[in-house]
Amino acid sequence: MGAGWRVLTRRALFPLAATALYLAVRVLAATGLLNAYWRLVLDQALILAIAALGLSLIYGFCGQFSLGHAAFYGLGAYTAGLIGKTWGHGDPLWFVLSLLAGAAVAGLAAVIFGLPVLRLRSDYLGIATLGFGIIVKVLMDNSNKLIPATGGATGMTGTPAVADFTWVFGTTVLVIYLVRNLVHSRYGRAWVAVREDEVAADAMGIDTTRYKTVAFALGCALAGLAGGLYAHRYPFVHPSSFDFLKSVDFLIVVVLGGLGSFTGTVVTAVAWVFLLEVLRSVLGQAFLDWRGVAYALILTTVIILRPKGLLGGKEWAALLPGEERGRRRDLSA
Amino acid sequence: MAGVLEQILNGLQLGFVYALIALGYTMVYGIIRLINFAHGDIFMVGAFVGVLGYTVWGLPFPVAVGVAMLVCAVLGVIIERLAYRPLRYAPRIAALISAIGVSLFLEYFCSLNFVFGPNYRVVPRPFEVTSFSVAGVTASNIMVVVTVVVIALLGALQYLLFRTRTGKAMRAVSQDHDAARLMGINVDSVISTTFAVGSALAAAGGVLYAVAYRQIWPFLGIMPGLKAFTAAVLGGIGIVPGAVLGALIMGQVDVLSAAYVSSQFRDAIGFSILILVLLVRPTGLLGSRQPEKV
Amino acid sequence: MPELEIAGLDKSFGGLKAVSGLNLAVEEGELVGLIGPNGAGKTTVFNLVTGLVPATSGEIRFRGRSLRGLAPHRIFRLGIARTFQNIRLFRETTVLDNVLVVLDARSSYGLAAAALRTRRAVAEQERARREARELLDMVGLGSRAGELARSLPYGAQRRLEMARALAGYPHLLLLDEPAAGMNPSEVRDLCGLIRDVKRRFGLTVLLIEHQMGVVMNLCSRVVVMDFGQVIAEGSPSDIQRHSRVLEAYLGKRGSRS
Repeated sequence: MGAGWRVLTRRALFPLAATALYLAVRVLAATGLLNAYWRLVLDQALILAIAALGLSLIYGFCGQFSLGHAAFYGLGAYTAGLIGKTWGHGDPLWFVLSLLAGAAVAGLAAVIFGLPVLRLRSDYLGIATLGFGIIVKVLMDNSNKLIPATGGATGMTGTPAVADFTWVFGTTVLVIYLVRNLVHSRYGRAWVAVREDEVAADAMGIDTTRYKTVAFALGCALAGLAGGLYAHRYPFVHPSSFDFLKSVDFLIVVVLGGLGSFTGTVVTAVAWVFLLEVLRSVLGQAFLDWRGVAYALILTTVIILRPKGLLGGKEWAALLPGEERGRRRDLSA
Repeated sequence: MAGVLEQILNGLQLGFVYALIALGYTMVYGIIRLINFAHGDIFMVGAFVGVLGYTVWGLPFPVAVGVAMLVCAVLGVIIERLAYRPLRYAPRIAALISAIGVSLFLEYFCSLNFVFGPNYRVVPRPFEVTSFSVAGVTASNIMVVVTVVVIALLGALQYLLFRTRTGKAMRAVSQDHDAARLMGINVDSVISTTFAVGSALAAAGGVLYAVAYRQIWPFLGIMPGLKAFTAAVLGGIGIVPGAVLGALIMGQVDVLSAAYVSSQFRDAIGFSILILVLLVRPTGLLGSRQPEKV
Repeated sequence: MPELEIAGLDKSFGGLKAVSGLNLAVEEGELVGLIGPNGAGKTTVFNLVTGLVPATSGEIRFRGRSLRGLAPHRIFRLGIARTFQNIRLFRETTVLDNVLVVLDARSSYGLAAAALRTRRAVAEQERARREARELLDMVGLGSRAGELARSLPYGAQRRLEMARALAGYPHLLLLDEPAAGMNPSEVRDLCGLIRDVKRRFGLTVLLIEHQMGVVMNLCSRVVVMDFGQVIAEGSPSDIQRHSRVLEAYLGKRGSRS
């Protein structure tokens, strides 16, 4: 009984922890201990985590440097937002459809852009994706000339706020599960091989172009999915929410979380958002101007002290598939 | 026709300013393989210090430019010392994140009320602006000042890089840190010098930009910084003449697309050209196409 | 039909002719040594055969099929595997995963099955994992499967590269200085290992090596290159007596091995 029970509890640890966390938040919200403001912050953190997991696949696992992730997040937000606003009107089925459409549009754009561009290496790829981000931002600013409902540079309103905590949390858990599985499949191993040595990977029978494109498309689709949630969580979608600085946000989360660690990405996304909000309350109104300064100082200090990320590429053992546990450098080791 | 020529002259002026920023990007990249995201903000600090110099402090314009260059040279050296040197042997991405942190720090710190404040400021001109025409094409003395200053600085840089021991050491370090160290070169001090020179050039670019376009604020450096970096990549990053070539192209693209296509699509056009060039020549226009060693 | 046939192969880098007019045939089941001074073009031949660099002109045929224009991963799947002189493992991943990633190519589960971790995907992974462990056992790394590749000592890294190459079940194995940096006892074990895997996998082997002991011990035939060309070939004992070889390879500068 002992050993079997341990295996069972281990396997059940992640779903149990997720359920417990969900219930805890609901109870805290119902009792008013967690007010609407902090619930908004929590949802923001989870949405950031989903998009950052996408970048984690692209950069953390497959090693393809992207400085334009926010563009795909924005494509998802506008696509899902427009569908929700035009046809959805709060209907859950339409909401799910709009999320899938947002992810699909972002993923498709990633394939079209990625096929030629993913031949570029490291910093050159970074600068090309940065350029793509700026191009998409300009197109968003002017999108009302083609689709008036987007509002162009004045922003888009009118998307129904369907995405409550249950939706956001459920999507996050699902995404973590899917990413976990992918990373420990032949796809994940091929991505890591490409990251570690693209030439050797090619010489060892790995079709590097194909795996890079798949990683890029999937990662950007996750950004699109997160964007769809964002558009249905916040009533106002504006191009400036998807600029270069937003791409930097995703990058910071992935790097501070430790490259090649999806646990690190999720934990850092939540921790980073909460840190910034705590900073806001600690500094108070009088020192609000100092918030950006503090943010910048914390960022630089953390990266100098922990250049390989806060968790140093480790994974939470309960998130690993059975055969990987105990063998990997997990947190318990 | 004269209108087109005037636009080309405007593009040249902007391209010259971009060149001064792009040089710092390309030199720093050449020597430590870092995209120094804080470089655009050093340009901004240079603009503020220079303008304060000839307005509030009452310095003559050339002296104000010199002071801005000096202040930024010191600032560049301090930044490298504090934020990049501890990460020299860390994964490259760590230094990049640190650079982003420094960039944000400079922007937000300068936005504080007791520093420069968060708002746009209109810049008074340091000298009377006069226009003149040659063969129907109108130009201003500002254009002449920008051209003269930039060409003088490019000449000085060329001299430094190819006629002095310091320049030789810089070129050696950019090829191979370890070999340079074995040859008795103090790599740390060469890197510091590179930051000083690059930052000083950006500061001069900042003052000229302020005088020419007359509006400054703490977030001034972001777009010109990105454009100049793009220019450096376009020309072939790490290559000094490439940075100037790329900057002159970006200047023309900016001005001509704003004038003849749409100012709203200006940035999109510039970056589209960058992406297309990279697809055809992955290491930039003047970059050598060395295949990766197997 | 030879297993590998190279005819009139040229490769220049800029003005430098790394390989020029090279002709070489390797028969099935042979173990051929490729020797020559540094810069003779030996590794370039490997890079050309595996498709990592394109030939300037000439023809490479493997089992009668031209390799012209094929991407490296396609050539690998046809049955040509290699190791690298300057060890190119996937350093920040485990020893097991270095081998597993190559075996993965034989799995047939797709992206959706991987994301949902279907029964079939898990079963296929388990099978690949067992195979990977067998390969690691064969090169003596079975007990270190969970360690990071970069943490292995030098000799073990070279053996891991061999296991990784064998995971493609190649017909032709190209070994680029497998004994470099090994001590005499490691070299002895390596020779045994090469003989062993050659027999078990039915391999044809082409071997670049500077340690003459290894070449003399293992190879049935030796090909000597200099200035990108074959300057001599024959049995190991013939080659040792060959005057041009002595001049080019061992030279007036004395022995290199």
